Amino acid sequence: MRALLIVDDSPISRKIIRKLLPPGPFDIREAGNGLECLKLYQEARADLVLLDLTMPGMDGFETLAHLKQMDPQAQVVVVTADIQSSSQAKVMELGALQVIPKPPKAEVLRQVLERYCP
Amino acid sequence: MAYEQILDALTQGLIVLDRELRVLLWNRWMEQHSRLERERVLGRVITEIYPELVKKGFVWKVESVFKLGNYAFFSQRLHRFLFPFPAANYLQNRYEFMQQNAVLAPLRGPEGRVDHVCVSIMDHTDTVMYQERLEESTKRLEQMSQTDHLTQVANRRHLFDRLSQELNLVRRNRQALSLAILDVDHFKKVNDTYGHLCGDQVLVQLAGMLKASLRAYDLVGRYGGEEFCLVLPNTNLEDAVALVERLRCQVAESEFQFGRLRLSITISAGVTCSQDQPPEVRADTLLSQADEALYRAKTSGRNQTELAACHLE
Amino acid sequence: MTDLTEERRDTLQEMINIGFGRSMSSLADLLGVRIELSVPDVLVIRTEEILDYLIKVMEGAEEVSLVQQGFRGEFFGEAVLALPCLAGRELVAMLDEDAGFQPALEMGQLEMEALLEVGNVVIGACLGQFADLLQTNLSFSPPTVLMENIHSAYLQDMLRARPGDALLIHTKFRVDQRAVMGYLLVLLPEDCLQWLYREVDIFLERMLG
Repeated sequence: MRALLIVDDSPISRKIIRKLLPPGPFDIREAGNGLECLKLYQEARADLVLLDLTMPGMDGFETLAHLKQMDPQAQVVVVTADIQSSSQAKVMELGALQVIPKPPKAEVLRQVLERYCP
Repeated sequence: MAYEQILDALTQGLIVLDRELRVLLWNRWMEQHSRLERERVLGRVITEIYPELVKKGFVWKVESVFKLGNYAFFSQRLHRFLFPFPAANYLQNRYEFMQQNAVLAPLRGPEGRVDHVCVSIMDHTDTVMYQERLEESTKRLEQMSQTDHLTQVANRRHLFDRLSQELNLVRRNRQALSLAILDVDHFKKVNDTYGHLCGDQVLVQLAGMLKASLRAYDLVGRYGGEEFCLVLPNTNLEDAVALVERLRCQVAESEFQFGRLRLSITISAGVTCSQDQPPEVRADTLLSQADEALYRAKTSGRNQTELAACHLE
Repeated sequence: MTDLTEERRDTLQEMINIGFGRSMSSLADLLGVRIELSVPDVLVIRTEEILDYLIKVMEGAEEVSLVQQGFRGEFFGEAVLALPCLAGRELVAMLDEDAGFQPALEMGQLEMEALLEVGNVVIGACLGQFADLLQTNLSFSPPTVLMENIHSAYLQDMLRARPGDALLIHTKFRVDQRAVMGYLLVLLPEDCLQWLYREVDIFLERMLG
């Protein structure tokens, strides 16, 4: 079963992403902040991390950097409303696979999952 | 319905631009005020027809409407006008150009993308004119309500208001403010000997003299019958005393005129300062300190300056 | 039915986050700068308490520039962009270097125009996106700018003009490598909260099916 990790400070946003995912089966875990994400990932790695950028405390950029340090093979797709080109460039440089603008669309999420964890 | 007719019936200007700033719509109001027929404008780039739009930031705003889908505004207050159209009311011609407010609005295509920008222009010349007149008369009234009728310096109320304001300001900037009250010596004798008109004339001349020798941000006000008050922001006690002493000597050496009459007067003064006092010292406290010092100047022989008790060792 | 439940608060927060994020992103790209965003706060507040709240969030800035703009549609209210006073100058410099923003005005007026324009874009685009998520449209009144001391009586009168509860959404942003930071405050009066909560429920329903 493919393991997903959804990281977003907004419970509603996590719910929406969960809802829009294509039919599984997936093993889905949720983290409400960057630290929790790192902790969960260390416990058991995920096939794909869906990561928000704007979060209180450790933001998505920092989380991404730590994740890649922990596991250079980590697959991370950023789901964010921060779509400025400088942010896109920064997360790609940090090793994200792709940026999905919020609110996410079911079709886009399906394509992403097919592509990165078939 | 004939939308063309409706657009032409509007009593405001309406333009539609595409991404290249080409004019796609130019309603009749625009034709009338620009004196450019539709045929000569449609399809042309607006900044080629009106190059001055660039300097007003027009292109930037149109760009932001295309990219962000927001409404943008040109206010008359800042720009006066967007298009240089002659003012329509020829009778009361305060303005060479029609005063305008303008709004830029996004027009979206079927996919929600902003494809065009709609510019609407409102003639606000009348409103602006009435508003300016209103402001002028309000200003006049305000000035009147703050000025002492006879001497044309600040009246007592305005003096007190300004003193409080200035006190707040110097407190915030950690500066000192000085205050002096000056009183004409034996003024009753001038009135009794030469008449009240002569007394009035002395006060007018004295007020003018005080005003002329102060800095722009100092304030002279008439505090009572023959009493004047000086509010001196950013001035320490030493400088204030020097200034008041200079004024006292100047008055004593001057000749006051009333018709063919020439007369000399002297003044007494009390001075205080906010320095070395608690930061929350109030206007009325300073006034009573200066008043008390003035009283001492009077009782110890007149034509002299005294410091407030709190500044005496 | 009419309460700001946890779920509605979360949803509103996320909706504003999306609206604000997208509009700020476009603005950042338009100006060629980088804008750091933070998570918005949503709370119900008495209008007479807003000023104290503003003073608190402005972290001791005494002189502030406020760009204020009303919006109206199926819901209505007032948006305020609050910047510390010096931000005006920085904005002028920022706009000047990029994007051909060159109105021929004197410095004081130019500062005002820069504030108006940036305020207008931030407010208009953010609320436009927010309204879009609610599947409705808004129209905006022209923005006004106030450069005031935060304790000024004018400000207090303005905020007290409509007593009652209001929904306050506020979010902070910072322009990278510039001394520009500010707050966007969106105030929705009591009267339209019922409508808003209903629409938020509908939005959630639509998203979660």
